[in-house]
Amino acid sequence: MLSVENLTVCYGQMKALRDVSIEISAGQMVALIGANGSGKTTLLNAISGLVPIEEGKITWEEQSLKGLPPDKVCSKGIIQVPEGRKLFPAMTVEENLMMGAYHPNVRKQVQESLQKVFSTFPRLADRRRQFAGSLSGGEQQMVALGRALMAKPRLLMLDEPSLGLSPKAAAEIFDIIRGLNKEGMTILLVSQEVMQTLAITTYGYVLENGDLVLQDDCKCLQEDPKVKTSYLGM
Amino acid sequence: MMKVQRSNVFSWLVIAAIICSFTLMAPAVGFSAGKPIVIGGSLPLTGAYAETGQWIEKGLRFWAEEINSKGGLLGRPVEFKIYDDQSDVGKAVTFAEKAITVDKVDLLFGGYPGTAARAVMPVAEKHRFVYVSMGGHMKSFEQGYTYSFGAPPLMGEWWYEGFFQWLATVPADKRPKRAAVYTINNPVGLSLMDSINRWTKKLNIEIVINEKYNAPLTDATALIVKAKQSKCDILFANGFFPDGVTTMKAAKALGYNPKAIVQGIGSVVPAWVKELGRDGDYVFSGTCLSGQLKYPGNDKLNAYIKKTYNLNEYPLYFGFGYSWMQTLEQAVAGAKVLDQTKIRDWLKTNKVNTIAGPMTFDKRGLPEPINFGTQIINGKVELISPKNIQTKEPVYPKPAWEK
Amino acid sequence: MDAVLIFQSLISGIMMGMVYALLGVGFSLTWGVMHVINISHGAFGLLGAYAAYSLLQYFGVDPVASAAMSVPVLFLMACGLYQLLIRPISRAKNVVMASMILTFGLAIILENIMALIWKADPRVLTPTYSSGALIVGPFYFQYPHLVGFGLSLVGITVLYLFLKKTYTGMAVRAAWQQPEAARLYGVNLFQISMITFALAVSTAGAGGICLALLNSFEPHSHNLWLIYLFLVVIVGGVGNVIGTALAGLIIGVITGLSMAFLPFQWVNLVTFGLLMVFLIFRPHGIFKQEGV
Ligand SMILES: Nc1ncnc2c1ncn2[C@@H]1O[C@H](COP(=O)(O)OP(=O)(O)O)[C@@H](O)[C@H]1O
Ligand SMILES: [Mg+2]
Repeated sequence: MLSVENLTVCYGQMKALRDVSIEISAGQMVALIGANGSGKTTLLNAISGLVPIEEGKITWEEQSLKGLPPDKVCSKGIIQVPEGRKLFPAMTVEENLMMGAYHPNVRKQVQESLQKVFSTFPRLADRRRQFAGSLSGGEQQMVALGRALMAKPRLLMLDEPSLGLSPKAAAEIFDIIRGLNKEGMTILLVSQEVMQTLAITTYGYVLENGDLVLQDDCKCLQEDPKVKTSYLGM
Repeated sequence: MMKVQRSNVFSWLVIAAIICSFTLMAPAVGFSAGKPIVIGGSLPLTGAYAETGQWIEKGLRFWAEEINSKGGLLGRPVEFKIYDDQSDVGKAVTFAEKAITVDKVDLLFGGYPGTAARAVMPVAEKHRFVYVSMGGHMKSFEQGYTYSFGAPPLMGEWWYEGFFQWLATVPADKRPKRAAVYTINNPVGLSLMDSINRWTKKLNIEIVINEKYNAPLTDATALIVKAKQSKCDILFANGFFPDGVTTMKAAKALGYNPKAIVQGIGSVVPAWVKELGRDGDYVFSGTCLSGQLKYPGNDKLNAYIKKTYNLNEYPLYFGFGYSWMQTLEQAVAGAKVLDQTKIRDWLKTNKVNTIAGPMTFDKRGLPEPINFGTQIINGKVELISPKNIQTKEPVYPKPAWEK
Repeated sequence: MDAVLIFQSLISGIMMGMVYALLGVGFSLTWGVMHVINISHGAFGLLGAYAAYSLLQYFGVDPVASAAMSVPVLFLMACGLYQLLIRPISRAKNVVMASMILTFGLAIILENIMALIWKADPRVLTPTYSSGALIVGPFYFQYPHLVGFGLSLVGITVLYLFLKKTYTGMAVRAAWQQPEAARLYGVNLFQISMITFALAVSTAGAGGICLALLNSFEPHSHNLWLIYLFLVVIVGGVGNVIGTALAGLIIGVITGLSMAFLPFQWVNLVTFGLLMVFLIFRPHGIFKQEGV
């Protein structure tokens, strides 16, 4: 469905990604793990079109995404939930969700989508008129996720969705993500909660300083001695 | 990120374009055969006093055209090097210095307005350059400068002399009794107080309100309400054009009908009658120059202005520019050399003939007080006083506002 | 103190304040949303004023109609200008600085064009009602003030509703609060910026016409107007439409009161002292909440 081949991304002189290739097929839930600053966010942003590509290819269903601006990538159903949620703080919960359906492809069904999101996250329905900036971290993440669902994603890329949440809220979010995948949604999950992540994903990639150092089935990754020492603290 | 460079190049292009447009606005230097006499200085060609500055420039250039067609001054063609001081006093001073020390001009031309001309006077004195301008108010001529002349000067202190001389001829019981005086808070505005203070005492008019305001005056409602409630039957609006218009509009809207409205400098600008129409009528003011005067030259200027700009009478500042140059021309011709001190001495001891009449100058560089009372009647600035130059009988008391 | 004087000063102060608000609201929006401090904003207002002047002079078109007409015309013109001038600098390192330099140049060019077309002479917009008044008891509501106030109220309300109730308006707010997320959900920043800029310029035109109903104007008047733009935006908060409107009212009340109670020469001092106070103590304006 999505393939990234020999991708190199630079910020000025600094190479943030070097020769990275990943592959995601329909219905899969893929994990992308790595230490802070290893280039995970950069990879998602390269796919979304937020940062330009230096070298390599990104292909989505036989079409190249290279050089497409974010709004064009979005129209293909590739939707990112950005790191830190990046909600519109001075807009209400409902308006934030509606912005998820901004793209003309999905705007017509905005009311249906809203109902669906509210049934997934009943708490948001109660808070629909509140400013997003006034919500708790867990609720904000729900808004972020809900906003992404409003865009009817075909590939959902989540960047550290549990960051800064209480363990309980994090578990809740992970449940929801797993549920979405069960319903058939293709997911690329970036997280530092390596244990939890590998437990619910099928295949994983490990980034280190911009290099792809490891990739395998998640079961094997969980057993990998390097992963164990570096990320699981064993 | 990829396009950073391109847009940088673009921003530089834009900046370059802006700089170029500045250069385009810089003074154009004329070309002339032989060894021309260069007359330098600055005018407010842009900024707050642009309207005035541009008319002065036209007056200067008309004079130059005329004298060059007659074979020039001392047999040499004349040309101007005019800087735009953007109505900024500081820049006016810098340009005067530059004209004298860097450009090494042969003569200095006079400038506007009171404030800028006043600041240039010490520069002229320091470098011993004759400076014929309008000055601005009495103070600028009381500094002991010997190279500065007003020909004619724009003397705030004299501004309402003509009006008051006429008012004194009105029977005492018909004169206004209570005055509201609003004055723009700058030297020119404040200088207008001089004749008001002297004459109201003499004519027994009580100054009930006497307030200053700072430019910009964006709303005159409160001024008019106060005057109206204090039952003032004469309004002195001692200001310029924008504040003058704001005051007049408020006076009409609030139905304030004093016996007379006297306005400072704003009502002598041609835009006053053109833009205000009937609502600008019956306003009294004064002038030291007018195209309706019978002195030689006025008809010629009026004809030129009619032909070129389709105006019935030359604008005041066109006349000023011309008159200063007339004065300088006669002084140079009289001195026969381009020696500033000789030119000055000639001016101190001889009579010049200008479109504002003949003048001799005292130690301060001032002629005898020159002022003509004016009133706008049917959209035209009429001379009302003194009697011998009167072009129309004044309308008094002022008719109520037309609805 | 005399009650009539106080109320009369307040009435005209508030009405003028509202006009400043309409003139300032677009300035605030481009500043907030695009980080473009549009020094030429007042010049566009002045362009509207001159257009209304000519339309009235030669075709007898009422300034209110001119305001309505100037909006679409200026909108289109601004779209072109955005593509030509503003868009290229949106990737500059310091957009705020670059935009100020660029629009300063634009203001000078506009000023010179206006001086060329309409001459340097001051102009006054004088429709038939220009110096009439509605008299209610002892109070006078000057027609130009009323018309300016009404137009400004309508203009600001329409702009507010656009931002609040339409998808495009929502995108404008989203692009301002969180541009990256907005892009991720399909917002084309260039398109939104163009619309913002065009809206700002067209409201400037309408605001300029309102202001021209109150004061005389000349090609350089926009420099003066710019000071009032900064005033309402600093007091109201950058990008805040309702804040700008309230700022206009507050400035109107303060100007009105100082007109009534203080010597006139203090009025501008008080008004611009207010600007200083806000810059020092409340640089974000009267409202904490960022937003429209
Ligand atoms: N906008 C940027 N400009 C310059 N360097 C950046 C930028 N964003 C990220 N980086 C750098 O790129 C590297 C990878 O960052 P990132 O992709 O955010 O890592 P991760 O998401 O894995 O923590 C880091 O060294 C980071 O400092
Ligand atoms: Mg990251």
